[in-house]
Amino acid sequence: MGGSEMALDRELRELARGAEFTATDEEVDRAIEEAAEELGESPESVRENVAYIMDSTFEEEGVSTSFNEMVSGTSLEDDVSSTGDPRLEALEMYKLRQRI
Amino acid sequence: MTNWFPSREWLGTYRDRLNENETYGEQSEGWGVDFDGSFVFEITELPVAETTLDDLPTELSETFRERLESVSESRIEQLIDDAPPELTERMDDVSADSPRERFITALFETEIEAMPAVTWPDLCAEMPDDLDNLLDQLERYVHEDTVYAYLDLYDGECRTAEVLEEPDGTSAAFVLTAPYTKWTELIDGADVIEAVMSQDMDLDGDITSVIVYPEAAQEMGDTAGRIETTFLF
Amino acid sequence: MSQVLQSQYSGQRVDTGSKWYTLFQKGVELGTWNVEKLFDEIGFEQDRASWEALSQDERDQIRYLISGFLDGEREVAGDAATNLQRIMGAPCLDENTEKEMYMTMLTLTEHKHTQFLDVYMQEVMDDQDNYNDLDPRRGTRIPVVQATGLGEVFEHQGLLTAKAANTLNPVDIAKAATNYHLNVEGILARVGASAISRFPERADFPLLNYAFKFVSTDEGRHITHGIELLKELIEKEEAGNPQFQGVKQGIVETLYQDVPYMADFGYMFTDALDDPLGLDFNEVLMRGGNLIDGMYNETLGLDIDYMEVLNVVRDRYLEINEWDIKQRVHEQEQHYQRKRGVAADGGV
Ligand SMILES: [Fe+2]
Ligand SMILES: [Fe+2]
Repeated sequence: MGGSEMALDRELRELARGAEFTATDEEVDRAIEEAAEELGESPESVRENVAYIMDSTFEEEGVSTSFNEMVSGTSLEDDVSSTGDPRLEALEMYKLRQRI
Repeated sequence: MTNWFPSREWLGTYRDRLNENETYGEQSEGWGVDFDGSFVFEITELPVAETTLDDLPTELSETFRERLESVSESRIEQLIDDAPPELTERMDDVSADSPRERFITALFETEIEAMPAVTWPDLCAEMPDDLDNLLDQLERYVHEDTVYAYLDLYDGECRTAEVLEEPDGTSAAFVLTAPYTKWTELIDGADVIEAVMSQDMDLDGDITSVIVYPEAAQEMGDTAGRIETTFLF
Repeated sequence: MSQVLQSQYSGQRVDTGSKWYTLFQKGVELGTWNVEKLFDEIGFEQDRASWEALSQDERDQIRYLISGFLDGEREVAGDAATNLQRIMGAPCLDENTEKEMYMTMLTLTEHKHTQFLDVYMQEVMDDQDNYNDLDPRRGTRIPVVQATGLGEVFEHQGLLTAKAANTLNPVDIAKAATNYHLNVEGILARVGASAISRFPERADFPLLNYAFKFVSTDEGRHITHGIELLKELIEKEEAGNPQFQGVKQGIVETLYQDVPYMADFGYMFTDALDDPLGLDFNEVLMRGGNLIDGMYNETLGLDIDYMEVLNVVRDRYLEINEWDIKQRVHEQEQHYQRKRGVAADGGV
């Protein structure tokens, strides 16, 4: 189980100088719900981990030049094989992580 | 004359200052000789859609307003008669007692972007020269919300500097892009290299060439910072 | 992510409210992805097929890039397990227990990164002599790393972390953390990762891409740790604590020392090989500059002298621009082969 022991900030914010959001909030919400169902976890727990994968800093607003370069950093915008949205990309990584 | 930014005159002053600047001359010796050293400055997000004539610096707007307030009754009537439909419509939306007041208010509440539709040569004749000139430049040089300035930099010299009327027809090896407010910070003395590093300004082009001439880059920024400038917005 | 991150449990010896506890705990949750299971899940097939389809120059480009990572990961893993682990117990630092806990996670992930890269290069990128028998622990780096300034940055890392582990002095710790967490993890690894993101469609390496996204996620926590550690040292310096004076200066000096060699890394996998994959040295340099600004100026509130940075990078660039990189690598290989010959003859 991921994230169940910690109460995290679940808000998914675009990071200053990080990759831009390209999906809609609804698309992201739906993808998180589906992933939660698939993984047998609560949507809250999945969302927490998506937020943490995007930004592990302790900053309220998230630091600019996102620390997770390939998932939420500007690099994601160049990645032709990615989902294109840092939230969906972090979710993909979380789903894969739970499998391995 | 007041050195308005952005304007053709400001860019001309910038070119002259670069050419008078011995440090720039020394530090950029060789720049553009074995490679294309031309630059385009892109000033984006000019607030032409938000700024009204009334919002412009008082030196421009107040002088014009006072002029319109003091012209003879027959002159104002003539101007109102000649007003283009766009301005007449705007006058209809203004609640004021006298036609003169409605005319002035409608005109001064017009956004810069819409000025060409509410002005005509006879009205422009009443404007202070600077205002007439600047509005003409904004009409010619602002594309969407962006102004493009081209600089031909060669071996320590700025050979030409011009504001581009048709930016699509010109390509440059280096493009420095930033919102208008970041350009004003630069002219107020901000460090150009820091602005690029912090992504306040975006530099596109062969960075390795710039790395070989860091002092020249610095001096280009500092030269802009030393021009006595009055900002249009 | 905000500070509301809180454990619902508490204990006596471990402060579950500590930032480092959170980093540790999230490291356990997210950082223990299993490298072998990733191999099984994604497979090597597509990566091998893409590799086969590339030209020799394109392969060299990727090999140089990944070699930098392989050596880098091995060196950070080694220094974390030894020097950084000791530093976490330094009396001048707070929250030693939680920092020590977190450092085990950092070390674990660095070993996994090495594990991934070592196997991946063997399985996908045909076999290439890494001169491993010459004892990597004594500094036998992959020829392209040793032949370029990247080796200098790793050498510096070894020296700075060993010194700090020995003195446990705040300024030494700041310098070591700067080299390790900002320069190596925060800049080198991130510009390298951004180059992987820029691989063109024909260089489709799903296993490499997924693995590096896990690496990048792990590195996000490592950089967070480094930044928080440096913030602690800076705060204590600014509070006037005499022992901490010189921390900020040490951080900035370490950047000026490393930055010219850091540019070598970008050069070696782009322009040194005429960049057939279009990984773009300009992009690498700009990204590096943005990352320097983001960490040093914006996050730590330091005032970097960019003219100093550009001047040292310029001097180094003019030097390496004259290099024939393939020739240098070849000479390094010959040097290793001579060493090997001596070893085979029963020499030391
Ligand atoms: Fe790593
Ligand atoms: Fe790391």
